[in-house]
Amino acid sequence: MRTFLRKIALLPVLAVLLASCHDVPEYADNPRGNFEALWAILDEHYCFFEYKDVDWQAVRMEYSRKIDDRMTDEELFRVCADMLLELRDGHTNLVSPFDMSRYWIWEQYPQNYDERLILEHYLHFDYKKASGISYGMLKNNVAYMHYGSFSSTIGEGNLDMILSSLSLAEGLIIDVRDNGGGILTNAETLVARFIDNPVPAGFIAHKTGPGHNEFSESYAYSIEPARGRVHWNKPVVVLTNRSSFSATNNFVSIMKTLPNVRIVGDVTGGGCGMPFTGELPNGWSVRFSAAPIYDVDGRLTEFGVEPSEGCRVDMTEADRQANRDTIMERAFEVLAEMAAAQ
Amino acid sequence: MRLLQILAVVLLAVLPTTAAGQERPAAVAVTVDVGRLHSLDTYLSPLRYSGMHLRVGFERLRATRFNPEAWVNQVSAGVTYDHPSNPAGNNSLHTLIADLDWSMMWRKPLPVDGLTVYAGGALGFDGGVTYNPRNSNNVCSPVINLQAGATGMLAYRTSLGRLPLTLRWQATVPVVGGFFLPDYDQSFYEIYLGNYGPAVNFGWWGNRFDMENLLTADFHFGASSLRLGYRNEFTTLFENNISVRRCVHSLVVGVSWESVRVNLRRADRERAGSISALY
Repeated sequence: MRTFLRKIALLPVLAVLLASCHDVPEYADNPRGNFEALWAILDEHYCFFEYKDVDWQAVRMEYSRKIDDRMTDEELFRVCADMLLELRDGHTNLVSPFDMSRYWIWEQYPQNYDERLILEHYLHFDYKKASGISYGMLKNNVAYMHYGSFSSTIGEGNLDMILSSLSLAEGLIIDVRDNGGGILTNAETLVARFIDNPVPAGFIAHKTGPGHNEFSESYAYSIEPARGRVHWNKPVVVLTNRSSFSATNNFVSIMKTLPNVRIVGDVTGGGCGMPFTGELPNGWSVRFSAAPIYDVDGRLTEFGVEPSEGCRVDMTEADRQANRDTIMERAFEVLAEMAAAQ
Repeated sequence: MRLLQILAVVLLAVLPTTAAGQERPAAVAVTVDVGRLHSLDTYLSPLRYSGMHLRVGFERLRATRFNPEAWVNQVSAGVTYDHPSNPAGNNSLHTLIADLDWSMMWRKPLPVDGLTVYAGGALGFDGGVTYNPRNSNNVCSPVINLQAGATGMLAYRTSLGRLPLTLRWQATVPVVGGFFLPDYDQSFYEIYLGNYGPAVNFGWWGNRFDMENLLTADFHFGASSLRLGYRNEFTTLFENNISVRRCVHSLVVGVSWESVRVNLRRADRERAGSISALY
């Protein structure tokens, strides 16, 4: 009986040990400790090692040699930033009080967008703004809207007003060039105006553990039409450049699947991993891709979405000199072709 | 349902109930906890945070209607705000949690004069959120927790000179329950899309252990008492490859009193000897 009671008394102790047996390592606040903490956060949470064929252990070996406990914060930041560049990921940033590391793919490509040119020579400064959307009528009875950031929440009422005021146009250009992303639900709110039935939008997954290949089952999701709201059923062209990133990349990948929509411009900037944030003992924060989003065909669009067939086009210098936007001009042609085909 | 009805009738017939006119005063307390929190939530950050802990709480202990000599029930509720910072001191979390607990305890006076032991079961609910303002898609960690467990208490009525004093130690240990915790790197966007299955977890001592210890001293000054005490809350949890730890040490300050429910439609108020300023 006494032995039994002893066993019972040990149960709470065992429970504490069971529940807390997972060791969470602590790193020192020195260059070596901060470097190791950064490497470990990415090692346990980053979601594209295999997709990008990155040997993270080899990366550690290479950059660990550059760590010296006498180095300054700026020197440590440079080494850590260079290590993160190996991931080729626009969602991965190291943030310190004096700098933010970045891999912004659009810096390696033509910008393909000049806001002033659009406002002055296409809209003639005659346009309206509602929440984050600038909109107006262009020549050839074409409507135009520029959504500069999906961080700007657009309301259903805003969209009703915008689409109603543009309803006499024969086609619509949605310009998401230089839209670096934001909130995914804003992108869905916009998509919902161009569909009459639920459409599959893609799949989402997440890491389930620290191993590089520990992922959940992909979860299919769809977008519902905005019932009882103003819809647009006429031809649509979406304009893109390499700065169309993250949530915008997702928006373009969904719009591309719609029958009445064409994508014109450059490949989007990608960024299909939902970013999480961690931090180092010295207080620097690090953002990284943690949860991959796949397109409707189950493909990752981390390196961008291609324009529709025959619609990839860069702005030419000659057009720019002539105050013409090559991508916009191509959009007019595509809209005319779509109208003719209907 | 029929079986439950029969059981209730049998229990009511067997168990002694309150005699007519017998009062069951409720020991009520309103308290403020001020203390320090040490926490870790690897969904939000791999770093350990520490900082301020505040709680405003209410507690009511009352003998049960049936067999009031032997059973008491306890209701406690509170709102907690935590504001811990990271070791570098350049980021702070905000936690807001509401808690509601109910327990029923059997009590037995011990041979030592004034000493009573209580033991019973407890049900609890915590609901709230921890917000990390610097984070992106792991911006917050919800606290939704239902639990059932055991609670025990020792109360000792004594005096400090001529001042009556009640000392108490109560420990509560949840045993099983359910709690909400996102999967390892699961975003709230995915949960919003409907994939919340991995975030709903069964809790037991294999994946979480909670314990609360409360020491109070009630100094009885006339009708009201000054309550001073110490509370320790401890949680360790490992699920979905996420570690959550929470340890709070806090000073408890408050007032307590005994209140009697008077039925104004009957003549109880005369029996209770109450004097109403209005009626």
